[in-house]
Amino acid sequence: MPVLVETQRLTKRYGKNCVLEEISIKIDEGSIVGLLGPNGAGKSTLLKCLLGLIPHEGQCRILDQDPRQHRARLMQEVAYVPDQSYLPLWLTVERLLQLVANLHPRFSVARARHFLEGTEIRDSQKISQLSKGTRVQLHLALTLAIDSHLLVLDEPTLGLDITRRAVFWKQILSDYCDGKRTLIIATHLMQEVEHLLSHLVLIDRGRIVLNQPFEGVLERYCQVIPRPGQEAALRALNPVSEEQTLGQPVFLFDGHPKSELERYGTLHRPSLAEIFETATRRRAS
Amino acid sequence: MNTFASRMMTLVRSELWQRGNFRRRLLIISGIWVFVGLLGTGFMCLFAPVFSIRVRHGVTAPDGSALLLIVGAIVLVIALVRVLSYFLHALFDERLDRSILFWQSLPVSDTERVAAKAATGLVAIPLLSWASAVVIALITLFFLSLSTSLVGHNFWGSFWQPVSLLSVMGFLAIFFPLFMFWLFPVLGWCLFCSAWSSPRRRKGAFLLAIGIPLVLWILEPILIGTHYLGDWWQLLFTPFGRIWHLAFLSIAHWRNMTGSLWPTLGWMLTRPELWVGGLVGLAFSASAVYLLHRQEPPT
Repeated sequence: MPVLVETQRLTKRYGKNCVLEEISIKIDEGSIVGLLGPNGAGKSTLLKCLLGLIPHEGQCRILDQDPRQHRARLMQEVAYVPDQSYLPLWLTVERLLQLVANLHPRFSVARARHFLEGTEIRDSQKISQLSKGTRVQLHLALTLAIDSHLLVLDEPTLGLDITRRAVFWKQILSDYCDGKRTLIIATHLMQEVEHLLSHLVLIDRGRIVLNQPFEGVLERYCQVIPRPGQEAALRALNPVSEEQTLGQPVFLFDGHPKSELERYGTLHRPSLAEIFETATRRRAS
Repeated sequence: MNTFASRMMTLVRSELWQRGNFRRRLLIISGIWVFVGLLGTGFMCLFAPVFSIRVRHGVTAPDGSALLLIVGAIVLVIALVRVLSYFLHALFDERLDRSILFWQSLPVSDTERVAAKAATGLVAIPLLSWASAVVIALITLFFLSLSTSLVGHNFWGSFWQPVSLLSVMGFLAIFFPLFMFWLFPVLGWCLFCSAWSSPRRRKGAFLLAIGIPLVLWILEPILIGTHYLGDWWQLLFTPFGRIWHLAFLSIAHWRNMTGSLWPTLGWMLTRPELWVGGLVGLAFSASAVYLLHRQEPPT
């Protein structure tokens, strides 16, 4: 697979405060990348660096172009939804569609209308009259209607209710992902996207704590609920964490053969949040 | 179709949409003006015989273009205020409401956006203002012709001389944008200030745009003993003063001043200040592009 996005030692400072520290990642074409981390981890800043919206140190290339130098050209191939919908409030929905159609060679009004079907959004409505959630829906429909190579979503479902979130992710899978298009999703709602991902980048306080294909992560981490009397044996295998859940010890292992662990208890897949917590804690220690 | 020209047209149109619906506004103003005209004509019918209202002695063949010129001069003042305000807000408001992130997510460069804003302020708004001036003047002229005919003077022929009316209309159509281009150093400075000021300070652009020239204007004679800034400021408003002077003369005697109007255009076009000022305005606009590229989107 050709590399679509590549950064080398990408660093971003605000005065003395370093918000991104030497980020080096490669994203292959066709992958669905989860850029996950807690609030304030540097996810949005990293996306803005990738899209050439802010100056930074280090190297960054998207589709073999420098995004700082060729942002406008790059945006013909890349669609981006920022962490909040900042559509121009004075426009009506119809004029917004018309505007984007005239400015974006890969935008399709028909596709946008398809994504707006079933919503309460009407052409004559001004964006300022729409509720926060409806504005997000409109913005997402606009973005999905762009036939882009790379879709960058920064906390895309913020402001959407649970039903709309599910519909959105379903649309992403059915209407957008075709194996060739690449998707970067930055979110702190890890459980919402974990079924979509092919690659995982965990970020904490401006540093990457995990950067791996999702399958590899699932292979690597394993949760074990011990059979009675097997706790000591599991402890001897050096788990990365041990926690009490509903009065029962739960062990998390990193890179241990599953066939060996099966002898001592029941294996479970840990959640992304648990993996993140463990990876962060290990890095800190 | 996604040529540079069509993209610019789209961007200029969106700038105008942001500033409200021009056609609706013109329709409302025209409606009000027609109402005022009807009211005036009605009063004329009722009270002209009672108060012996007569057309001033000596006015024999008033030229309608005089009215067009004075309305044009008044609308020019309004257009100037609008354009100044537009340039002060052009690159500031989108950072304040954060819609800049939407524009940056489109394949539109900073240069294209600034060029579209400059074209809106220098050409689109002046031409729309010109259209408003023409419509208002023609409505006024119609009711003036009607009212004077009610008191026994038939001025329809002299008021509605197509050659002089079209000549003044043509002059104003060129003068409105040309005058804005003449002011491009000031307008470009305002554009630069709107890109420069921090969105955290609401009046930042306005204070920068006024404050820095004011300080320089005060300090220049004290520190280096010259008055270049004051002289330049005077020169900047010379065409404006000329037009107002001609408009006053024209309406005072109800005569066609076309002969004196066109040389003003020639004078402006041959002055090196117009082209040097254009370059200065361009330099400020280019600096605004540079600032936009350097700035970070608001968080």
